[in-house]
Amino acid sequence: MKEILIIIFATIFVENFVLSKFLGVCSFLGVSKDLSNSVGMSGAVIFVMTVASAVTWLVYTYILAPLDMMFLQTITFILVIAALVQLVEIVMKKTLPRLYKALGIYLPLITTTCAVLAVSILNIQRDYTFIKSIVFGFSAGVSYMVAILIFAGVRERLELCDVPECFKGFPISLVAAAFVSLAFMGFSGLFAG
Amino acid sequence: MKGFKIIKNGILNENPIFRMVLGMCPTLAVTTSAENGLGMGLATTFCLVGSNMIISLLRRIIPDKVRIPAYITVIAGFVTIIELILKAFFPALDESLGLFIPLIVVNCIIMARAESFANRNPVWDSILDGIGMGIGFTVSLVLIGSVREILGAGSIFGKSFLTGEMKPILIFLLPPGGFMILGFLMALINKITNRTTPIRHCGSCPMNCVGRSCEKESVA
Amino acid sequence: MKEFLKPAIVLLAVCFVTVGIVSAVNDITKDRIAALEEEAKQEYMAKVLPAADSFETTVLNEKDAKFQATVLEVNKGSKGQEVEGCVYPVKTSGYGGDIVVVVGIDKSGAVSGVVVGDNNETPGVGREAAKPDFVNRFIGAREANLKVTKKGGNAANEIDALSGATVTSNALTRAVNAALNHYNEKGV
Repeated sequence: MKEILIIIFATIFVENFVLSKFLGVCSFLGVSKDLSNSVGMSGAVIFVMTVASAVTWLVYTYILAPLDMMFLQTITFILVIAALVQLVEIVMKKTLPRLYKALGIYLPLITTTCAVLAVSILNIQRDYTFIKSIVFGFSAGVSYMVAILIFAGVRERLELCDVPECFKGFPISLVAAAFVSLAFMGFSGLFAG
Repeated sequence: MKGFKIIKNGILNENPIFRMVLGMCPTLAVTTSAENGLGMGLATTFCLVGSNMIISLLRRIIPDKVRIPAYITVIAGFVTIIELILKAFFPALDESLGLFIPLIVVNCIIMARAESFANRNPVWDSILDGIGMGIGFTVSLVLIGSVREILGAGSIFGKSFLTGEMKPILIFLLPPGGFMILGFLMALINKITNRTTPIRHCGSCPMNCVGRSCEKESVA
Repeated sequence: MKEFLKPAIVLLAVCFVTVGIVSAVNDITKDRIAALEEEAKQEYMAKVLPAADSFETTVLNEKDAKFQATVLEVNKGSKGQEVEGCVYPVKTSGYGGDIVVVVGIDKSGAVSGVVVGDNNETPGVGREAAKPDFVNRFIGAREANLKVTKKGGNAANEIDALSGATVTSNALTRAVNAALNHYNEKGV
């Protein structure tokens, strides 16, 4: 139980996926422009990451490992994730139309969000059990959400600022992200005895 | 002459990092030293040239409907090959790039070139495009890596130039420094070339818009 | 029917060819990768326990609750018939996540060497602890009662902390304690 809690808090704060591991930065910068998009996107990310963690863990443990084909990990995982996102999209459209309306347009963005593939690979690298993998996938999604929501707030303030011409757009967002990331560095060392 | 133009396009006009703003994750994560930047750049170039070539060769064979999964498979194949080669011959580089080698698969640059260049241009042009884009990416990574290494570790390509009581500014090796240096370099280049870098709405990865009118949808 | 069949066949063909090529590359590189890994392992084991020249590995994954560390393996090192000591890779948590610390203990029960493996410690601060300057402070320790001090302690069980990197110093000390504890309880 303690280990599970440590995974959750360490993933969200200490090794925040976006701000300290640089995973999912592309969509982080692209989508954080306004709050409602950020909420939708991070909801979809949490969902897909949790499911992808479970599925890729099963595929690795029960198919790749017994066949001694671990070198196919990258190919298998990305195809599984791509197929999974499609499947989730179709199923969600049929059974949960309201949720689909909220998250649907973000689903295709997710296949190439490197954070999802990274979660799947890290689960295997760190020898997580099935339960821990799911918890890690979920917390990684939450860490993405925390980062993107905080940053959406920063971006809204940034819109009102008078920024030098050459800094407009990406550069100033990156500099702002640097400060948010600096704030998150305050969490490091939290779980070291 | 046309070939030269294609390569130059990748390095300058459509520089994947400073112009197109693609592949931010590896750009920020592995540029803690010039050497890492170079390694990552070359590994990506290999995958880019290979996948551009194969996809261009297969552009008339692969049906439109399944082109995305087919591209992903081809790209993932090249990534696995480079992963194995690095592990076998450059174990030190493999260790320092770590997780970001398999993540080349989802580097938007490769998918973007497959979608917007390789699947509608002849093989030779596609290879040149891959080389140009690869060089553009590599040069940018080495630039960012050098700046971070000089400021953050006080060395150039691993050779320390610090003497006596001089201390490097560590923060530039840490995540916040990565964001900041990239932001400032981008602004500097904008200043020199007199341009701006707007944020495209649907995430900067063009793959996101592949085959869907995501640009339109996500505005709604 | 036909418009379903063609894409499916093409996609399948692409998958098979890719997997085939990747498998071929894997066959070529496989042995070399395994050899490199083995070589790296032998190298650090020889570094922390120079007296031995062959090692016998037992996978343990034993948690040490007292020192919050996990002893991953026991590598019994010997030279000829003579047992020379043990090498323990120990996992513990540092400032930036897990660290693997490899501890060598010779047959007299004293620490003969320490090497810090994969870690995410802050470069220039915690990562400095991996340098011989710091890890050599553990050499010769026998009892699992090492503790970190900040005042430059002189007692046998006191390890002078690396300035600015107390957390990493603590993590390494816990790992060494866990290895010593295992050695003193279970023997070689």
